[in-house]
Amino acid sequence: MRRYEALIVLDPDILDDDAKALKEKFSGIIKDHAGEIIKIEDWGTKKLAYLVRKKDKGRYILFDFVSGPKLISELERQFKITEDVMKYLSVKLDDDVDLEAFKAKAEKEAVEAQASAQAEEISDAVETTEKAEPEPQTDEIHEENDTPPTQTESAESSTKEEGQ
Amino acid sequence: MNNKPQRRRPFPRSKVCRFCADSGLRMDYKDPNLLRIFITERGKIVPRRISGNCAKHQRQLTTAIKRARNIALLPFTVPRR
Repeated sequence: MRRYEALIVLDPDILDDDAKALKEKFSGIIKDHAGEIIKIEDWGTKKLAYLVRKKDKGRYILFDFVSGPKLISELERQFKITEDVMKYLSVKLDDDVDLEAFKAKAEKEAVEAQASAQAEEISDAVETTEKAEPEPQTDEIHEENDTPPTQTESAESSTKEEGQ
Repeated sequence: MNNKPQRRRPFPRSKVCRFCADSGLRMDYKDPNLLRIFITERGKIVPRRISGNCAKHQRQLTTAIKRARNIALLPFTVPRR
C-alpha cells in the first residue's frame, strides 16, 4: 500500500452541494478500490496564479489516502471525465505504508488532538471572539499531517541503519 | 575605449541553505507562500548561487515549485503589462 495525495481544483461557480457530491463521489471511488482515506481537506475558493478555463478562481480540495497503485489511474480517469474538475494533481507521498500501524498512530494522534483542541476551545472562548477560532484549528491540522511522514521516515532509516 | 574590466555588482546572497538551517521548515508544493520566496517577480526559480540553497534542497524545491505551478498555486510566468 502506498500513501497518495490528490489535489483537485473545482469550478468556483458550482454550488456547495455539488462540490460536496463530487467529494463523496471521489471518496467513494477510493473506498471501492480498497483505499483508506486519511483526510479530506476543503481549502475553499482561492485565487489562481493564472487563468484556467478563463476563470481566475478555483475551489481546492485535497484527498489524502492510502491505496494500491491501480486506484490512481482510475481516479485520474474520473478527474478527467468530470467537467467540474478544472485541474488535478496526484502525488505519491510514501512508498510503503503499513496500514494497521498507521491507523493506530492516527487514532492516538486524533485523541491527543481532540484533547488539545478542547483545551484551545476553552481558552479561545475565554479570550476572543469567534473569528479567531478557525485559524488555530486549521494550523493544527497541518501540523498533524506534517508530523507522521517524518516520524515514519526517521523510524525507517533508523531500522535500516541497525540492519546494516 | 575603456578596457577596464567592469566591477561586478555584488548581489544579495545568503550563504546558508535555509532548509538546512531550519529543520522545521519543510518543502511542500501546497505552501505557495514559502515557495514564493524562491521565485523572481517574473515567476522564475531563483538559482542556487543566489538563494544559497544546498543541492539537495534546491532539487526538492524545484520539484515543489513545478508541482505548485501545475495546480495553479504559482504562476508559470508573470506577463509584463
